[in-house]
Amino acid sequence: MIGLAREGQLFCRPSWLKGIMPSIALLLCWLAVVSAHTGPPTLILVDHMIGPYSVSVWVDPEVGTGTFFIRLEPLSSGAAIPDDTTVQIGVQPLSGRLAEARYAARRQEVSGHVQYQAAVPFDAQELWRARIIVHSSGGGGEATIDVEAIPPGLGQWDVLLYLFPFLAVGFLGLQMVLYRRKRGEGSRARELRR
Amino acid sequence: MADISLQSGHTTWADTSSFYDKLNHQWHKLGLQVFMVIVLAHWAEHLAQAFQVYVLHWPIPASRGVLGLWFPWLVKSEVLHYLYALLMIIGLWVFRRGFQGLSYQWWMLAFWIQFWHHIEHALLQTQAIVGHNLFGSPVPVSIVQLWVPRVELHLFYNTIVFIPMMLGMYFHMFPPKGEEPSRGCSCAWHKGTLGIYSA
Repeated sequence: MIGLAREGQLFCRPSWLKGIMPSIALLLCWLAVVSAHTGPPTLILVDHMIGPYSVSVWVDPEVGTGTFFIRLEPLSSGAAIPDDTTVQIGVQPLSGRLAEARYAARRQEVSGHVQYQAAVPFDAQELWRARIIVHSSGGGGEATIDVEAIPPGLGQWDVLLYLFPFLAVGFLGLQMVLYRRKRGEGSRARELRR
Repeated sequence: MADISLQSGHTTWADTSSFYDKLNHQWHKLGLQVFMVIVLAHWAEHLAQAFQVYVLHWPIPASRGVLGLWFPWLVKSEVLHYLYALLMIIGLWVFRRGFQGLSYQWWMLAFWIQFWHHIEHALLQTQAIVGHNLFGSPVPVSIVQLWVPRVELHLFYNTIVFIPMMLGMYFHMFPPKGEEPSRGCSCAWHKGTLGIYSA
């Protein structure tokens, strides 16, 4: 009992449960705020001039739904991004198999910066041409970048990766079978010797 | 009834009365089996998703594993992933005392990696709540993602936690030469000098 009782009491003490349950509930409330599941976006355009703004673009170009983040910085310090500023993303496969589709980006304020976020459907793994179109009372313009849409995760290797835990457990099971067989052979040999 | 013959001076099952003690003694094997079923069920969900995408060639938004077919919100939200991460850290902590020697070292390595996983989660959540992302990123960013930019944290951590966890289980079931099996539980297949439980 020595050494076990102290920790064993953790499960018997209602106050412990009372304390931990709201903490877990609080953590779960936080979860709606951010997705930590996918990798962060990649910076593909840095301080590019579009009209009166210096523009940086991050993209998470996953097949399915890709995400663009466009950050605008006014050239003159202290100036603000006008509220009427809109950003659109136009995407089209480089192969030309689809017409360009445009998507409006949503304005956000993150870390004291104004940025625009847009979700863009990519239906296939290939090169896409993306046009960043900025309109505002202070001026506007556009920039074009090529982006390769890529499958989420490791692509087809995902199947192998997710099989690996089952192979590991299978290996453990195989060890048990081999051990049992070895032990069975050992006891049979002992019986024969008798 | 279970047959136990522990050397004098050691804790016997009769002494282990609390739920927690039992989980590390007579219920250790069953507990680990249940824990492993949960772990494999989680991997099976991911495998089903990958199978739907790359073998069945379903569109990615429609490839939601098995649970996600009935509860799409569950897969899209972070709740399921975080609940699993929480369950993992609880399981790794709760069952740790049933391990010893090399198996304990591997098991605890898995625990500490999972602990760091939670720190990363906390870091991401804090950035989202405070509204200030680290390193000028447009989205909340974790420490590991600084070195491996496009890594999926969930997959990355679950893999690097699973490997030492399995090694811990392996050495727990088959202790290396010169090491005695864990006292009190029935997990080890090698019957050592302690005369542990035989089912």
